[in-house]
Amino acid sequence: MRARIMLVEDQPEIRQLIRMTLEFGDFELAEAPDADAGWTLMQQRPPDLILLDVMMPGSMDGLELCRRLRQHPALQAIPVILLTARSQQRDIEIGFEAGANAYLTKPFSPMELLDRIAGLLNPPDAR
Amino acid sequence: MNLRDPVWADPSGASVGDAPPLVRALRDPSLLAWPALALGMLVTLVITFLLWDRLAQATAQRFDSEVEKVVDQISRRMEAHENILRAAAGLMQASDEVTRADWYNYVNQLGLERNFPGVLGVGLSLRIPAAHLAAHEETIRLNDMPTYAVWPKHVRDEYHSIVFLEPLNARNFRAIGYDMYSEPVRAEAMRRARESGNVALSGRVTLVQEGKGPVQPGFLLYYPLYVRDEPADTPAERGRALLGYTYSPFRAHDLFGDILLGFADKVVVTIHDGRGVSPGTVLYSSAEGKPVSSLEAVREIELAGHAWTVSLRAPAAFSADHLVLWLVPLMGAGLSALLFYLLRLLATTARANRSAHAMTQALTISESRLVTLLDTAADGIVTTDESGMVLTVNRSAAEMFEIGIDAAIGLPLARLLPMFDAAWFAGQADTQPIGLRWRFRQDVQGVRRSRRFPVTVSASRFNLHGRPVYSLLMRDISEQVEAQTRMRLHDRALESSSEAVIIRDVQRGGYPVVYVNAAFERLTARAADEVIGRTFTLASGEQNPEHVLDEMRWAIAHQKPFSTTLDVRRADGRSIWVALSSSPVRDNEGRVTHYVDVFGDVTERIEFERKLIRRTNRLHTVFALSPDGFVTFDEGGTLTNVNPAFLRMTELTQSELVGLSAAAFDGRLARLADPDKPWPGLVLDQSTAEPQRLWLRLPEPRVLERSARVAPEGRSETVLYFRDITQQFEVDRMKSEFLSTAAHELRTPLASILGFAELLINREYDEPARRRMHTIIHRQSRVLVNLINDLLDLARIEARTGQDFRFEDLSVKGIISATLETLTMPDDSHTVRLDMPPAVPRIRVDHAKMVRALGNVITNAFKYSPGGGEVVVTVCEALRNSRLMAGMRVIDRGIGMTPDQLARIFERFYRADPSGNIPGTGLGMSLVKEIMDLHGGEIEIDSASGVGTTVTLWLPVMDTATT
Repeated sequence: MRARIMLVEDQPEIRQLIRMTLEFGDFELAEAPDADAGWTLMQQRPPDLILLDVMMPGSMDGLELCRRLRQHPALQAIPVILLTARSQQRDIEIGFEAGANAYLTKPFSPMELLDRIAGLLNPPDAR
Repeated sequence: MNLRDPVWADPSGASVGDAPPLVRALRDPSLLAWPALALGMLVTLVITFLLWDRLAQATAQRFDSEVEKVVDQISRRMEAHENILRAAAGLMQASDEVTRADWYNYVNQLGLERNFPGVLGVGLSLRIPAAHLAAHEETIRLNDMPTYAVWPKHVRDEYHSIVFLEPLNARNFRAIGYDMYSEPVRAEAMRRARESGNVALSGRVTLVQEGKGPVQPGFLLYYPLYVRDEPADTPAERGRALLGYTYSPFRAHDLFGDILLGFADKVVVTIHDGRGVSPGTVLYSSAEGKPVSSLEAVREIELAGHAWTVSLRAPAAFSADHLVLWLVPLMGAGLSALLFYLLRLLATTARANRSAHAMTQALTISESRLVTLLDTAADGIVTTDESGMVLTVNRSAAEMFEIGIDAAIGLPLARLLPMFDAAWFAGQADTQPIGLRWRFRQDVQGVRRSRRFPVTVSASRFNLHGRPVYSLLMRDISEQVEAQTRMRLHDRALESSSEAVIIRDVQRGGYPVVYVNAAFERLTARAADEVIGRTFTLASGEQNPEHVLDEMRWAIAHQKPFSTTLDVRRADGRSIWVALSSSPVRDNEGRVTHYVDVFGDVTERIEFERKLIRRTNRLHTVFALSPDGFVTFDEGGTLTNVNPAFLRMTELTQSELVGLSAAAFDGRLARLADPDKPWPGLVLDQSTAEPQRLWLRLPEPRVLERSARVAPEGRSETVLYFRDITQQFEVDRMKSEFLSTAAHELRTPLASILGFAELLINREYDEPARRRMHTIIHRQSRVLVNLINDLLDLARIEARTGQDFRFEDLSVKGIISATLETLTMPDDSHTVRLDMPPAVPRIRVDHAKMVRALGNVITNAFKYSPGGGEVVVTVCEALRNSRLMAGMRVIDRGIGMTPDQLARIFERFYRADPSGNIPGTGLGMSLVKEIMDLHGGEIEIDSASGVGTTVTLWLPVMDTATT
């Protein structure tokens, strides 16, 4: 069965980049342009992994969405990778505190992203 | 008349000379002294003799009494012995046969040795006719005494033999068998007893019992024993009927020693045998070696037909009561002498009286007036005789010495004035002529109730009736001396005062100085004689305000005291400040006579005060003008001062803060605090090492730094220092945020470039895909370049703050045209309509910068009109804030902005459309704002979401010119 990945990202160029990056593997991708849309989508059908931009317009940013899904019974176990241009140590700490499993700073290497996704979907101890 | 009356206290005028001689003699005790002494001695003599006589009589009586007692004792004892012998005879008569044991029993029960010392025993002597002698001896030898023999042995008609003698001790045993009749003295007594039928006492004999020891005189007592039933009524019959004798031998010393045992101290006794006194007949004497008095008595005692002569003497101590004997004459003589002395003493006083009386006479009829005069005199007046004895005392003197007039008269003057003792008077008498006067001003001390006080004395000597008399005038100067002492103290205090003192005489013209002290000379550098007697004004300095001088003049004119601070010019030209206190001195009538000025140098204080004031003023200025807040607390922790800057920061008022405690102040400030931030508590009394940061939310968000500084010495005031670092804090925050945002904006396009480039490297894509990806990379690179350009422009403009601007007077129209030429239309759907008025104003601008600003505005108008449409660019003029401004207005019919978006329009990197559909850096309007600000222009934006946006760039008009 193909792993379902949800991407929440406001910038179309980045969405396109990730979409094309994920073509390297066998994934089913769901995209949302902002946090509210992503929250609705993931509740309807929880993905196996979430790629989440931090700085997004709208009532909720990526960190807030991450915190919220960690409170949700059906969603709290889903691995989350934060994608952000914020690269300072403090920002990274805040990200992990919000419940992220991995933190990738923009610009990122698409190949590294694939490695991270693979690592989170197939944890070493589960194999 | 009282002998001790002062003469002037006796106004009767009676005089000694008028009295009869006897009375005069009585009045003059000196005439009585010698007769009184003689009489006293005579009386003493008589009394002494009478007393001694009585004493002698009493002694004689007592001696006689003792003599009688002695005689009585001797008689009684001898009677007792007679009775013992009679009883022994009775024993013989009553019994047919008396054995030696019977005799022993009888004698033994008498207890001779114990009861009758001196008697050697009680014996029985029997008459033995010569014919019976041998038989008798034989019988007794056979009976109980083998050695028995009658002795002495010579032949005679009849024998007498001691048969029994008890106690039969060794001494008495020697007497057994002795024929006492063979010895004449004993025989005489035995014959007498036989003839009289009664007891007979023998003369002096030496007893046969006497052995080798001291031999005492002895004697014997006999009682005759007759044969029963034979007539014994006549001496002849008794001679025939004699059977024998009971008898007792006596040792005289032992006997009389015992009898007279109790009299040894009282009498000295000598007993002679027979009548008369001769050394050869002494039986006993207690007189050996003892001193005896002249008292003597001789008694003859008739005892058992024999006489003893008893001679008695009183012992030497018997009548000698020496104390009594001599006390009376001694006391009598003493009393006589005392009387003599007293009379002599009285005579001296009386002589003084007589002198005084003589003076009184000399005073004649004005005496009473003189008395009054003397008594009312303020000075004490005392007269004395040449020996210094007080003759008269007036009332003032009596009061001065606190002594009664009566008590004073007759006293030695030295008791009142110790200096004038007997030696002094003696010295004057020898050396000084009559009529001389002395004055004693110093060192004379009076005595009043044992306390000394100073007096002045003036003494004179004159003759009155041939006798020298001293008159002393004296005055108690205690108060005067005290006053002088006080004056000296005051002088000393004035002279040693560190305050200068001037006294002026205001009753003389010009108010001349009459006194200055040492401090005056020191302070003013003027010698006393420079100013004394002259007018001198203190207010000589140049810095004295007119009102001070006016006040001084007014006070002097109204004779009021005043105090002030004056500038005084010293003699050496230096100027000093003095604190002056001036007060008038009034006499008893209240008239001002002098002015006393007291002043001290306060130059240093004044200068210090001035410095302090200047410094304080400077501090106040700093305090008031400082942009930083200051709050001060006093040592009690009460808020005392708050400066305007602090009030501006907090929008609190001075009145609500001043007087608060530190805690209340902190509480008040905490109400303004941002509750999300920590609030450091305020601690007074210690300086803070690091400033504390306070976040305020009211009245507007501010960040303050607070430092506390405790005054290091003196009063421990605390100064709180508040610095508003909001601006700095905000700039820091914005810088940080800008960097963060800029980095983010740069990373976002880079993410696309890096990502797509990596995809292209890692995989083969078909041509359309490759082209799409290259386009994205290209477009994002362009965005990156624009972003970097805008950032650099912005940074440059900010950094230079317009210094590199080249301002020119340009036509608005020219700028708009130049702008439009630089723009390239993104696509054909957008058009620009230029709506120019006929006359356009000129503005003073940097051409390139203004083209850039207007270009950004027009570009935005295009970008936010995604559906295409017309953008209108027009020019207008208006008065804004009283200035004529030219506006370049750009109107679009695009998507417009919400008020929120509009509020953030100048925020860097803010973009109304974050989707990425509309390209941009988010820095365009920031640049416009910077450029307009540096031109002194304004930006007016009018926008409605979905309707469109109108942006007007207003710039000051230089003038308006027609194109």
